[in-house]
Amino acid sequence: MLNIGDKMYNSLTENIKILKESFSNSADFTVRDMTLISKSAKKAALITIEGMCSKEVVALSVINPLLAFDFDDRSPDEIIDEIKNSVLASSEIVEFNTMKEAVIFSTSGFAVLIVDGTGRMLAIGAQGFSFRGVSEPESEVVQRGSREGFTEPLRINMTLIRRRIKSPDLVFETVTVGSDSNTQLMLCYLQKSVSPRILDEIRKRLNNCDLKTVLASGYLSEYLEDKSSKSIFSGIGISERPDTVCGKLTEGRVAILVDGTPAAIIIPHLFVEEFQSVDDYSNRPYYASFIRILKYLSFLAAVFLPGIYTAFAQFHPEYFPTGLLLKTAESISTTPLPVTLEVLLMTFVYEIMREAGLRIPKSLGHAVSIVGALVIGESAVSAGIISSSTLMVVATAAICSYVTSALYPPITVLRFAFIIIGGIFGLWGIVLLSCGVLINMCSKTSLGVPYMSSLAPFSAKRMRDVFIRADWKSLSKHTIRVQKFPETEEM
Amino acid sequence: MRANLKLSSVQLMISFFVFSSAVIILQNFYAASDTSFLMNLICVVLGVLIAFLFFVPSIIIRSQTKLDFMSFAHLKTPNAIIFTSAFYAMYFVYAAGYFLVTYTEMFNQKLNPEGNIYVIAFLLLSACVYAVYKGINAITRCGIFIFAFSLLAFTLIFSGNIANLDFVNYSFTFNGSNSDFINNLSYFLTISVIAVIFACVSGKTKNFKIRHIVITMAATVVLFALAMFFVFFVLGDYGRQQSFQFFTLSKSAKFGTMNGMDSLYLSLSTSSVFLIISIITVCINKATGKIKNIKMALIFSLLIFILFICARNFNSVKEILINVHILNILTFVAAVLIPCIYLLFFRRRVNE
Repeated sequence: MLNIGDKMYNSLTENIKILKESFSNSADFTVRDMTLISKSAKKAALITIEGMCSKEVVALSVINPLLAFDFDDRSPDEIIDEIKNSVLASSEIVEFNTMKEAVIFSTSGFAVLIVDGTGRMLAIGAQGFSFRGVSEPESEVVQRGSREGFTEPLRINMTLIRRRIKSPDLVFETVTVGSDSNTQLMLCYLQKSVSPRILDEIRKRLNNCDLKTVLASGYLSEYLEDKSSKSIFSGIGISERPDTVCGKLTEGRVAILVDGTPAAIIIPHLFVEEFQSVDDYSNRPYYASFIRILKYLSFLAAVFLPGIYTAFAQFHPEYFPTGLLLKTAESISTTPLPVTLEVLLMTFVYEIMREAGLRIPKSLGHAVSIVGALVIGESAVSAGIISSSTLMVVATAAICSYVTSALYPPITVLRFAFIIIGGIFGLWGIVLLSCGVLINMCSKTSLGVPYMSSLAPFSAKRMRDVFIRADWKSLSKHTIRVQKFPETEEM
Repeated sequence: MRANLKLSSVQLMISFFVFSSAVIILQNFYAASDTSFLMNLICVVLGVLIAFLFFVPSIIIRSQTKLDFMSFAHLKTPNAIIFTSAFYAMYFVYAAGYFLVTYTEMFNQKLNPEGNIYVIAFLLLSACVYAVYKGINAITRCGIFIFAFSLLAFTLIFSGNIANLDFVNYSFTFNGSNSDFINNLSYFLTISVIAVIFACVSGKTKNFKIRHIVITMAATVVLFALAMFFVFFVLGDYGRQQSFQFFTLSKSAKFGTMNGMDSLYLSLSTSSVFLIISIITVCINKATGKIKNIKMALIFSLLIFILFICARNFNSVKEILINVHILNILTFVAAVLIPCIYLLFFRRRVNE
């Protein structure tokens, strides 16, 4: 078994044998044997993983110079020094001497050079795997702003951030997680803005991550959340946009890029951030403020509308305005199911359709839409199975939930809960559940920063970027660091 | 539960205001048989002034020791603390019982006469235990949202009633006997429970200023006066035949074709009572010295529930429980008498 920190042997054959064994003779493990020009005809080998390196770069920039150089009577250690300093033109050459590093470098697309007679090895940057180009993120579309989104390779994502913050204050720090996947993470932060406490806490939590495989940023969310504040809301922000990430970094947050994931984790993450978007800062303040308020109202409608409708229709019809009451009563009286069941059923069917729409091939998407619109919409209402008012309420709530798409998971769960509680206890149940949810949200923290910060604990100064978006003159006066929020815990 | 985190003084005061608003909306504005607006107004001002005086001993202890009264008592009399703790725990159980019974009475009479009141009380207490588990910081933060909602609700209810104001049958004269005056004063004095809560949690507050209490009390007077003004001049004599007049007031509010704001009343009263009982349960934990112990909150909530069941089934228990005179006397003992005894006894060693 390969142990972490195991030193390489001096024998080339032994080293190759161990590495082959550690890769279980995998088909993509490639060894290119060479004999270097020297008096003792030194043996060397270049290890690459098929598909991870550019063959052209390896042949032209590594093998050709190696085979052309005369090493004369140099010792193996001198040969390594010579290669590192004079022979290769590659911009990225790292020296190492452990098995673990050999595995990590080769699987990361480096060409690993082993020379017989020394335990020192060189990792030569020759990455050449294919990847998706930089494109506009589909989940965070903006009208006015950059069209660039993160992509899968870590280095490209780093570049996207560095291009926007051209300051030595920006730091990238490498962390590896996943005992099997050895996934590379990059902690990004601005040295002068970040709180050392928050940074240390993130490092500690990542070190405590005992996952074997980390394939996406979502795997780490649970490890980064505050243990003491369980909630259906997440204290971890995700963004596919480098401009968003850069904005958050200036406020003292930390971004975590995960190799292979086109999204960055941003922490600490607060509730009010779910309602902010890059467009807000490009638009005029009055319009941005209008959109903000619209988002908050949409969130409330998405969560409460079906529940309140159920409660009113079932328990308090007198709360409907007279005109609406007549229409609703007429519509509900013709359907066979109780209102609660009707709303639940419709919401459930909608969720199924949404899930199906997400998973099925795009070419079939239209068919599902037609079936959904015609069968569920038209036919169910005209057949008298579902009332038109119920359909309208469910549809409105569904559309509202997409206004703050990052909050979709908690919105969905809460919507069901409010329908059920509204159907059993009426408005009273909805109020009590709201209190419970509020308590839960108010107790939640993200790395010690209260999740509901700006609202509760209330901060008038910070309200300039919550319900309204103040003009840039006022916003740029003070950059609000996230660690300075009131009632932030000291861990 | 995070007990070590400091509590914002302003946040606590906002919760106190919500507390007062709950007292207002569950208030009987015609407590005395022959009552006038002016007399009620004087009772309100006097009641709030007395409630403010109830804060004084705790303020003195806090300013001199940076401790709340309960911590001070734990520190100074570790051997006798069991008696003090037992008294305060029982007092809070009584106060929680008072608000729970008043709320469920209102719920049963006005909102849903057929609703199972035991289930309502049980669920309300369960939610409060959950809130206690999350800690006083979470509760007071939640209080900010309830406060914002209450401002909105009061604005809508009052503005929806402006068109219904009628001054014909009422004059601004002072009438009523001494007993009427005392009765009314007693009703308005129930808000002084917040002074005992302050005695329990003030040690955790940061940036505390006396003006915070003054502003809260002033806002309470304004709200009380406004509520009373609308109750008297909108409902008139009809209000005398009603219990929970603020409910009737909210029902009579209208905007165009939209009639009745009783849904707002239901939401406001439920959320406020939830906040009140949650804070009181936190204080029970504090009184027993087991602030982090959820089991203690569970046990005492169960006790409150048992008290509630007894009150629902035995009229004598109910009469004792919702007797404002008893509540006020106990509040006086808890907020003034016991802290003053401690202050007198330890007057030379307060800071030690």
